[in-house]
Amino acid sequence: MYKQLMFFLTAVLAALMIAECSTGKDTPAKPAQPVISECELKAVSGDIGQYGGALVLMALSDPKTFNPVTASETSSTEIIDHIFSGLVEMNGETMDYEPALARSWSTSSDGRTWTFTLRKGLQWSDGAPLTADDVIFTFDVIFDPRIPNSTADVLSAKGHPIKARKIDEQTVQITTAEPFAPLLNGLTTPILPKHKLEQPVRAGNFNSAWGIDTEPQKIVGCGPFVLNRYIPGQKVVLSRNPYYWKMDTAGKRLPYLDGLIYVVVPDLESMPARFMAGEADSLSVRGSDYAMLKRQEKAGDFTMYNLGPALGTEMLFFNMNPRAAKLDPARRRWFSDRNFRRALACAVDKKGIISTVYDSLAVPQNGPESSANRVYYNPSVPEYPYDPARARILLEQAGYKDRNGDGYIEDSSGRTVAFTIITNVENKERVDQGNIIKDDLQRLGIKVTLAPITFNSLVTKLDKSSDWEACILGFTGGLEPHSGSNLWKSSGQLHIWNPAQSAPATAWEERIDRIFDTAAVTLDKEKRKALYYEYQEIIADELPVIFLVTPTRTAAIRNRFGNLRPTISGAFWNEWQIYVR
Amino acid sequence: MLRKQMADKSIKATAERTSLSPGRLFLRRFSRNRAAVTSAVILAVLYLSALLAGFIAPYAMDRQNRQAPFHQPIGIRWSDESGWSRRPFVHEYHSGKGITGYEKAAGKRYYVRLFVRGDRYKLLGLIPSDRHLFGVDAPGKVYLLGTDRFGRDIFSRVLYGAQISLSIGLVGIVITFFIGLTVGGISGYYGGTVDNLIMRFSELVMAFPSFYLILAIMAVLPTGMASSLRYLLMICVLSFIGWAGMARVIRGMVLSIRERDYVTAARSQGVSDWRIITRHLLPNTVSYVIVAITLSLPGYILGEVALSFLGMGIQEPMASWGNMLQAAQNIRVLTSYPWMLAPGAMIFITVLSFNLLGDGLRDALDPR
Amino acid sequence: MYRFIIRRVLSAIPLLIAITLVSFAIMQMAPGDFLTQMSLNPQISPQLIEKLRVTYGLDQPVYVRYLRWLWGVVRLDFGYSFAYHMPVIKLIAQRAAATLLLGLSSTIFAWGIAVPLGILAAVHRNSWIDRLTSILAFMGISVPTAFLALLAVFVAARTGWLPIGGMHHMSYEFMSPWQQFWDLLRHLVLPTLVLGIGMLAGLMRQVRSNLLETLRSDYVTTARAKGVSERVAVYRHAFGNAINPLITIFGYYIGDLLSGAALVEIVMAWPGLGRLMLDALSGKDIYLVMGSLVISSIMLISGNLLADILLAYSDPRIRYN
Repeated sequence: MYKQLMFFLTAVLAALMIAECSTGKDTPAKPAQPVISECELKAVSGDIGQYGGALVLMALSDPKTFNPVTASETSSTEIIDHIFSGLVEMNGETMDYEPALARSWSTSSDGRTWTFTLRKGLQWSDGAPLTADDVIFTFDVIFDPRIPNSTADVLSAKGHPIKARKIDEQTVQITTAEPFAPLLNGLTTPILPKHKLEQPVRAGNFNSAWGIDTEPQKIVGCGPFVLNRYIPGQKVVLSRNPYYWKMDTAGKRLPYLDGLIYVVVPDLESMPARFMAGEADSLSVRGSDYAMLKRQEKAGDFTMYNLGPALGTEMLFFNMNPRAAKLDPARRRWFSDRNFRRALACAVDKKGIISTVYDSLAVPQNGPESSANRVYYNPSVPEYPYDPARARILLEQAGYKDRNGDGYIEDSSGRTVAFTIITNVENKERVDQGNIIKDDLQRLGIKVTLAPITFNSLVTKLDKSSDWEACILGFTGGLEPHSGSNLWKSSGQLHIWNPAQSAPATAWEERIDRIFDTAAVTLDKEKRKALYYEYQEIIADELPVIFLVTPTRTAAIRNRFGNLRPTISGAFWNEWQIYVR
Repeated sequence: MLRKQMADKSIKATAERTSLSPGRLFLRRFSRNRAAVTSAVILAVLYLSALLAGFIAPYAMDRQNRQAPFHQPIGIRWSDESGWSRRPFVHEYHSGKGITGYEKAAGKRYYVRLFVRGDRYKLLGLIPSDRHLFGVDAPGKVYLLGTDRFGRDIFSRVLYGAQISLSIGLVGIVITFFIGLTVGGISGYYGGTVDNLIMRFSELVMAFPSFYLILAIMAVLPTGMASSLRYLLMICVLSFIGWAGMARVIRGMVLSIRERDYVTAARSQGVSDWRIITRHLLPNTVSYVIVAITLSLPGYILGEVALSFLGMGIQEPMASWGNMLQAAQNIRVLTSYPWMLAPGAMIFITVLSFNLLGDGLRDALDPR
Repeated sequence: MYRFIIRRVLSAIPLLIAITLVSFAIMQMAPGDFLTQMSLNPQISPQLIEKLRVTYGLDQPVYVRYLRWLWGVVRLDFGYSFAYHMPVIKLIAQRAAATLLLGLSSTIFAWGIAVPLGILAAVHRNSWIDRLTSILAFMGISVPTAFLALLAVFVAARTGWLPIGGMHHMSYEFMSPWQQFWDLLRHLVLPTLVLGIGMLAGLMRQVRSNLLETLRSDYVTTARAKGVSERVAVYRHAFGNAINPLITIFGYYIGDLLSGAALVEIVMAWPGLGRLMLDALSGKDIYLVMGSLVISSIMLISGNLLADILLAYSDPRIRYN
């Protein structure tokens, strides 16, 4: 049954390609056969596969745009990432930056000038040559004041945009105001086709260019796949880009797959049913479905891959902001007491959270970086294992105990320790974690109210009014620790417990500030690593926030693909060399 | 005026002739309807146990037992392998291998005792107490309807949930129907410009983006406020804009009824408009209204699920039938832990009882 | 009657303006705006958010934004969606057909079953058919629709009898028109059932109870006494009067056609307005919300007008002036 279906899908895809060609007959200018010029292809190691076949994936929601610059959420970027490439790319296994459109690069001795050499003979998916002009054009767009986008932030060192200069058709020189270590991270950004997008930029309507109603053929890229068709609410079909710049070790041009199909399945609960019925090749497995799927592994002819912990952080934090007028001073006093926070950290049953909320598909987190970060994660930071007895002792030593025998603890001035934890209601896992934390703290004699509110109210409370006491929230993380500077530096808007300080309030915050500033201008990888190790230790020791758990990702994938190397960067991060066996 | 008095007299005479007062007549007719009486009793029991939830429930609403998530129901027994007992008891269960559930530990009996001490609660929200109707000694557990993901007793949560689910719908219905009937009656009776204005206003109200209205209200209310109180406030607001649908239907019926002979007659006799509306027009809509009330009740109970989903309903760890049923909306729960559906059964019983009661009441009220 | 209709259509214009004004104001009262979702992302700087706010015009006072929007609407420009950088009308048009189709099919299904079953239950009161339909109806309204949808998805996945979700098969584009039609029908079955059952239960009870009421009224008794057959008594005399509240209710179903199916659409991957509108609502993509609000208001107003016309048609005693 299943094989038949997949055979059928492949046939469908072939038919799609034919349909595409046949529609060309109606138009007067019949598309020419691809003229593929010689190109310095990047060879990737792996099994030698065969061409053909398609990979069917599920997407929770439709893409919102196909414009790589204005796209800001994952449902769009997930599609766009297949269509475009950057100057450099991140290896999904080693998490190192590797050459992509740029064949090689060099750095000047002062660390401020980078020279990138493009591959010879690069072509866009419509056959037009890809040159240094396209690269320069891309940076012009990113830094165009009329086009607000987040890449401009990533590519700015201390607020100064990088400067790109064309040396020749194949060489681009980038200069930064001071040495800028996270540059390579920023240069994974998609390079744009000047010949297609210059006109909208000139006309001033770039922000709405390449919307989802754009004719697929007009979207020209340089990634392994191109957009073939998009049917709103139903599916996105991507087909092979014949001009892609990678080859296997036998010299065969990649990718092997004829295409990718994203089926829109807007409900998480029905995704497993779709997968089990053979309508998709891969499923991101949730804890609650794990056992059921594991039993079906053989019969369904698929394998479950443990991809390891995700990036990002889930944490419980407290309002210590001295400028928060609505915050009760007694509460601020408790929250600012490191021993109080340490006691609470010991009281949180992370194992209980892992088994109850995540059905064991999570790991405890102790510091600000996830263990998924292979490059910078510091495995030996101070830990606070679940120990209610120790928590009680710590609280007592710090002067919090039940003084009047009512079952609740009081501080030294006799105030009952009570506070409200807010979290965003849209995230069920957080509400469940809040439930457990409330129960744990209640056992210690702390009166906790859990208040799940909508994300927008939560942000308004955190951001504008500072009208909150404690909060459970997660932050999206990246592999580059520098991208968390808005969170950890004392001047950051997201330095949530005491944001946007004009001068660091404590010595350790000052130290963290310095670490981030120094690491940003340090190009030596080992030195950076030492700095970021130190920052993780300080945070875990001072504990401005109590880290909770990191969910681990599991993917179920059909056993019909070769060269599968799923990692936390993606089950199909090396999509160009995946083939149908 | 005189004529009206005479008319009233003649009605009284008819009633006397049947030798029973209308109230007695109603009671007699109602008590003959067995389904309706049973429903009334069930509802009375439900409301009473909701009122005394803290006392009847063996555990607190948020008492977690993380060692026993998704525990199957534990029955109260009178006998086991070692024979009969004079006192009811429960067995102890141990978690089985992996996720396969819990296995009964042989031998040890935990006797069910009455009026035991347990979690603290406030009876009727006022009297602090820690006595529970029944319970077993630790480490035994009595989970009559099993436990949920957090190892919380579903039986206790169903009782606490009843407090919210059974009361909030009624509050909403009272407000909606009071306004709906009044406005619909006036609009239909007067017709013309009054009708036109009222109905255009009702369309305005119906088109309100209630989603944002709720968000706005929720944002103003303090976060420390009990979520049941927040929800009650929200239901009140929703009801104040929810009358429009009701009013339109009533108005449509009144438009038709007001042209009937007896209404024309009453009008020509100089009966006041208000009296015509309340005595002659609205009673004729009772059939519709009773069914509409009984049908909108589950709407209020279940509507909360959708609102919880959007972050506006009763929030964990508070229990309501709606959010408990929400937690059961997962295929693993349905196939492995069917006891999580208990609140669904309660909703069904409540709706059924209200409908049968409604039918019985209407039949008893309307002797035709 | 024509004057009545013309008057109602004309009065719809100020009404629509009032609806949009009030709605716009209420939306502003809810916390946050479209860009709030971004503000907790460490990778996005507050400066960028401010820039975007200016680009989207969200820095302008409320009345300026409302008047600009209203002026746009006058020129049939319903504004841009922030999330999609696309005209709202295009977005809605892409998906409205699917939602309408599902709305119509489930409405037809629900009314087509509820009316005859309700009549049957009323005529054979207290019979087994009455009891059975009642119990089924109560079960129907005790189950949340989204729950029912999820069950349907799993039954479909287990049995393979019907498609698991969506509206078209993967290869829909390459089918013959007849195959396409058949494919669409098969995909329609489950969502129609799920959505229809929710409506059906309530309607059936209403038909039953209103018919019971009229069956016992004097004129039906008179008709029976005159020797009119039971069939004629029920269908000609009683049903005509019992239908009054149903006509008004029918009016709302029209107003509800575009928004009533959102949850089912999401669970069953029906490519309608469901997810689009839910995301727009929770993400405060206000012009998209306003666009759909205007359309549903128009449908609501015309549904009510239609109901009023039908009321007058079904009961000649009803006059509107």
